[in-house]
Amino acid sequence: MRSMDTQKMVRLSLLISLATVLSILENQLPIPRPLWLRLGLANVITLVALMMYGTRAAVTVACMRALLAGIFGTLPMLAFSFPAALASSTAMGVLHRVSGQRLSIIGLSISGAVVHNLTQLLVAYFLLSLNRSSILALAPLLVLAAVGAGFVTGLIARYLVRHLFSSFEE
Amino acid sequence: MLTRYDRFLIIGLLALALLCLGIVRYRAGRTDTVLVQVDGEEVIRASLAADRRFWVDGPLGRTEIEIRDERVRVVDSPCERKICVRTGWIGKPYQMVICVPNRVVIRLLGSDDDDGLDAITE
Repeated sequence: MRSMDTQKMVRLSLLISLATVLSILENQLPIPRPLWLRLGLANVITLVALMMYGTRAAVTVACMRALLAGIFGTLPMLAFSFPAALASSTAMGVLHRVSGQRLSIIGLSISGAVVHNLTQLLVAYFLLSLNRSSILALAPLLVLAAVGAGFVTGLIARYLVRHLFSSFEE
Repeated sequence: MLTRYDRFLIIGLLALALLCLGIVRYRAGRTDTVLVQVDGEEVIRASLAADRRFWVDGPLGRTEIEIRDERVRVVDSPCERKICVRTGWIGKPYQMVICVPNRVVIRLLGSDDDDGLDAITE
């Protein structure tokens, strides 16, 4: 990564630690929810990083968050979370660049969530040797869940970004 | 709040997912076979018709599985978060209980399952 100014570095570090905490909290809180599904609150922070500093920052925040939160989990959990974080943040960055303003932060969030879930399904395919029909049976459910979760995190990110940006206009 | 492309994206994804879901449900038919994999290797293939209790050994230890009334569940598992136990009973084709920490996958085969062929040739 090119040299960056101190303010950017500090802000990115803050975002990474925020995302890590959110990720760990979300894993451990006994919130009633369907078993496999999570809202993916850390994605809010990835979106904020994307809006503030672009694709590279978003990918950095997502990957560092996955690695740091992975310390508090198990290795198989990391095998699921890291590739998904990498793929979804990259996808959101690319879509953000390609679509210009046509996709809002909510559209980006949903795309990211879908890529995230499908990446995890792909990992499961290889890691757990699921067969093709199981994958085909699971994929639509995961896409549906991702649309819902992506919408909610996108909405949160939208408000967060708006308030952050207005507070940054020193 | 949502742009036009957001709506295209959402509607497209929902339509695609629901269509796939419909196709899967339509083709799944009934299930009568449960397949248990540990670390990707098939270790047990059992009929749902006969009630029984058995266990498989994974890297963390013993996962206890029960078949009753044409359904199957994990009774006990050495993993930390017990997602597999909390999944509860499954009884429909393609449903799964997955225990990532103990590398255990319990799958109900569907009638067009690509593992179904093995059952015939065995």
